[in-house]
Amino acid sequence: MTGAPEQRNVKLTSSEGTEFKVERDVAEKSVLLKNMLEDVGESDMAIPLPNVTGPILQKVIEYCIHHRDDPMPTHDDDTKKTDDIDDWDAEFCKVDQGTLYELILASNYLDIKPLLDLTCKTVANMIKGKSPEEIRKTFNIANDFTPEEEEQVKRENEWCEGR
Amino acid sequence: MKNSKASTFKVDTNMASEGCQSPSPSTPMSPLNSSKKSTTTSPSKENISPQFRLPTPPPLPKHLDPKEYPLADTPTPPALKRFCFDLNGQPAYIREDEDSEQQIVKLQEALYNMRASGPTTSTSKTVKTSLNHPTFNDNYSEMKTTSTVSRKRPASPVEPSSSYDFPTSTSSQQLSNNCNGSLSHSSLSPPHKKVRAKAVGNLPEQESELVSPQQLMDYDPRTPSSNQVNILRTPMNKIQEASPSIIPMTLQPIPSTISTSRHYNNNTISSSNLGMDTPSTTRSTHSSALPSPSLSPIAGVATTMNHPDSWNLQQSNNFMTNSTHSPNLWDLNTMLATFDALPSSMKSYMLFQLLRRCPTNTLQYVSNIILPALRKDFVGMLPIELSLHIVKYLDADSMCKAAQVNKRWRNVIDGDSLTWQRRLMMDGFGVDESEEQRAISENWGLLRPINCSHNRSRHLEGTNNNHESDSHTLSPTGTDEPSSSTGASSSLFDKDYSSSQDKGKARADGDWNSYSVDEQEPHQDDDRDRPYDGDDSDVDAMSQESSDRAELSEERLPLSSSADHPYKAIYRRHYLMRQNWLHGRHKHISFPGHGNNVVTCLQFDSENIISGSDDQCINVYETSTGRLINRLVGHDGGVWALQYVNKTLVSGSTDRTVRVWNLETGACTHVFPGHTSTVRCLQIIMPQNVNTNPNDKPIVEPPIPLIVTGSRDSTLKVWRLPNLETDQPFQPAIPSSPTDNTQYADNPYYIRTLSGHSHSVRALAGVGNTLVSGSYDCTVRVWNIMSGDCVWRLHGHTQKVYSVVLDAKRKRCMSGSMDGTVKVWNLEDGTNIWTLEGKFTCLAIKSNVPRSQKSLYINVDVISLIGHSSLVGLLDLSHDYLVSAAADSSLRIWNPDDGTCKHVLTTHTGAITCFQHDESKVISGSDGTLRMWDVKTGRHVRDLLTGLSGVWQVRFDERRCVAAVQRNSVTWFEVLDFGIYGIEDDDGSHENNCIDESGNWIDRRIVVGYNGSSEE
Repeated sequence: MTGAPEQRNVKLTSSEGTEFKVERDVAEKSVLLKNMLEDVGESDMAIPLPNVTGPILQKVIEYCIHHRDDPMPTHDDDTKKTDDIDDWDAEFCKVDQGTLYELILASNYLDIKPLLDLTCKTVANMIKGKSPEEIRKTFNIANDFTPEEEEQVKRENEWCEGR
Repeated sequence: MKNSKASTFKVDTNMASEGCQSPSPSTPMSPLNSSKKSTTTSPSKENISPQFRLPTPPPLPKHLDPKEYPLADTPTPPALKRFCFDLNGQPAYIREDEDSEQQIVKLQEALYNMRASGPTTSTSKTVKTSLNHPTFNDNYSEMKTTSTVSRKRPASPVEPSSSYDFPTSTSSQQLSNNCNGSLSHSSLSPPHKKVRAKAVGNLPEQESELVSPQQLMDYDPRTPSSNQVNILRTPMNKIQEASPSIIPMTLQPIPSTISTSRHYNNNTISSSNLGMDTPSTTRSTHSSALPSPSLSPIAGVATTMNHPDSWNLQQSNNFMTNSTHSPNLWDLNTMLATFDALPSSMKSYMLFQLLRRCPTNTLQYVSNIILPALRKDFVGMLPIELSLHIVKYLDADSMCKAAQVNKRWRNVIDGDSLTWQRRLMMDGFGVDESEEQRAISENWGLLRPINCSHNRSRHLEGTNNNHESDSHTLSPTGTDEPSSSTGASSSLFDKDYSSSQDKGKARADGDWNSYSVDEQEPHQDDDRDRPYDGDDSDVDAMSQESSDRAELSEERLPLSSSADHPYKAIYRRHYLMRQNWLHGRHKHISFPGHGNNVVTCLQFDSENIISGSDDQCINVYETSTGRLINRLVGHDGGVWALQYVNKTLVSGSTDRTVRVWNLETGACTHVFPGHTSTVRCLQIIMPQNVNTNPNDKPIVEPPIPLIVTGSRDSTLKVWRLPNLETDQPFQPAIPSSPTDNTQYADNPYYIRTLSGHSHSVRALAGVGNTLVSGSYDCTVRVWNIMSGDCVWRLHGHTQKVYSVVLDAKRKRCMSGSMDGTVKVWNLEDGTNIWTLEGKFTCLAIKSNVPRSQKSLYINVDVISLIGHSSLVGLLDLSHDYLVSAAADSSLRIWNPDDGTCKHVLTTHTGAITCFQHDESKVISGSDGTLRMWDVKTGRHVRDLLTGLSGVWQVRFDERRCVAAVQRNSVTWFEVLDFGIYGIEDDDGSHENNCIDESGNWIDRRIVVGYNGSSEE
């Protein structure tokens, strides 16, 4: 559907068959694609991504484009802070939970660690500071503890109430 | 709604049939419009006979995957299951559940009975509807293309694109709540053709009132007076007749003047049976359709009506004119069926249209239904490694909260040992292997409620439940806990998650409460293929055992342990101790010692407290009780320095000797004469890897354990540390004359003397082969103790040097002096990097000096700003904080990386006599007060001890703080034990004494005698 692909472009096909054209450096934000491209070399063939739907792929591409100039993450980035999300990223993550969920899966599948970290941090921030009941509400989770079990679990964890 | 994102989806797409998804800007809720699927129709309905018995519940299309249809399985909210509306003054009852078919009939009858009554339609409200044609076109282009399958002539004379059709559908809209059912239908019923034409004329740009009865009548010639009437009149049989007539209706794309016989039209009709009831799956939709006609009924209309451009109901004319069809609840069914048959994009659109017609409260209602369904149980649904990736970002408090969400979350969060190990590390809790072993053997992590006296009753109850004896048990078998957890703990360190889950499962066999089933999780269907499966023991066990629950719950916990690793329990212990420090919760024992002499040195561990005093004695106490275990007598002068490693104690005294003691026996095993004056400082230097690169081959220095002593005789001496197991005692006669140095020459433990200082050696610090010494000669020297070379001689201080530390990590050393400065020296080139004084820091001084020039004299510039205003007598570096304490009554916290002064602790009023710090606190003694500070903020946390005459020494570890103090000129030891209050080895005995009525902790000092018995 497009003309002759430019050299630096990579075609990706989402699960529904929608085709995306992205520049190679953007695509290579995904370690999966990077490795794939290295293995396959330049090709006009679209790379099928059967695990990623079009809208999610679009979001992922949006992220990769914005962060295309970021350095590759160092492997030992284990500063588990969640307050270091910049404005753009925060805005990027303002999506419904379903989308966020899909983004986590997609970034994991595509191996885009910064995006995985970002999305997981975003979820962690949704959990932080909430009571169990608030967490259940936030994620629409059923409480499957019996009252006794709940009491037990409560006692198991009551030490951590900052008293 | 999953597809809602499609609207933002702007990419090249080669799927022509799917193009043009983006709704026009004029549609505010555009996302709903779009959807990627171009599914045409599902033939699934074919089997539903288009016969027209009264409501046979038309099932929602089968296989409504809750993933795609989050609400499909949502049970009808109670409010919608049974309701009543006023039908012209008569109450009409609708009840969904039981026999919905009957309900429908009843409703029908009710409506029928009402037939004479005036058209409630009049009560209908205004609806705003104005759609943009372009929007439609855009949205439905897809439909057009896909529907071009078969072509038929449009039976109806409909203008290709008239927005005015809308009004019609619109009109159906806002019916007063009362008559929803009937009204909506009445207006809806003629969804087809005719209305449109009329509407076009009558209702231009619909902001119009509901279609008036008149208008409605217009389009159905058969309707005598009002649609309302019409509806009601329709006898059952007629309805049945009518329905067939619907069948032929087809949607057809007008522009092409091609009519398409759509499957779904057939379906629509077939499902005209759409009974009022629906199989459970359909309930929600359906029920909501009943009470709020704004929803489903319209859907039917909207489908057909809203697309003047695209769709026609081919047979509408026939329908309208020939059939006896009348607006009826039936149409609701029809509409639902129609809706079911629509491609998803169409559904989105229709819903959008419907939603546009909904008042705020309806939208809120819908929203309250939809929003929860769209939420995602991330931790529960994601693959375990991704769930844990999320958990990684949680603090311990949040982890504990999250572990209480449900069984699955509990398992995810508590079950992973690495997660908790990481947590321990990140929060600065060191764990050694012995603690892990102990946690396992003592069954830490079993339920141990935190006890406090104002909670006493609960405590006791909890204790009973847990079958813990009040005197906690150290033996793993000491509890009646499901012993399986103990058994499993033997292989606790298995970090493989799945295998630990297997263990959990095995356990479930014999223990009803081991199940942790996810049955109640709504998402389970989607996620069964997760590693967690192993954890879902069978429900049967649960139900079967549930009868036993009552008895068992007396003895066992409702839930099995959530983790097969000890790290959460270990974390808990460390955390609680930290909290206890923070809140000042401790057990306090106190005992006198050393008469009224000064305690010059102090060291302790969980077993012993060792104190050296100028009374020439070294006392050994039992840490937990304060019992005096041993008094080490032998020095002929005051003891001024001591250190022990394991059971080997080394002391230095004014009697010029160094002595080595066996702490187990209390015997002095070795005496090293040699120094000609007081031994003022000493350090045991154990071999260790000094290679700062942990990946390189280890470099172990020094080769053997050493003792280094510093003396007022201005020398340092290096000794081999005796091995008490293998080395014979060595106790030469002490030379009578201080200048008689012959004796130590025969000492097999003597290695060498480091000479060079011209005055007393006051402080030393060594790591590996490197030793730093500070002297009253105002210099600092750096030595290689194995070669005896003085590597550097560091000049800069203008007065006596009282304290030194060695920063092996940064290859620097620091020195504190009476001149009020702290200087940081570079061990690589001997330069003075910074002089730490007050706020002015971080000056790099002096250029590089060739390494070959050892012992080069470097006279560095001295910064004139003063931080400490007097003697910096104490200096310590650990946990990445450099802390200095001075006679000016202040302490300063420095950043050892850049030399910045982070905090000045100023509230003491006298010279700081002692202090220690770790990664979270500083404890300092001065002027009769033992004070605790926050090392990170410099904040004064609390006073641990007050009202003293003086504080000689203070040491603390993670659990205890031991201070040697002076009370009214008598020396006392004060032991503050923070290992209480919910911690495993807390016997709870102190509780009643230590918490007041309001739950505040009171420091109750328990004085114990020499034998450790309580005296007070």
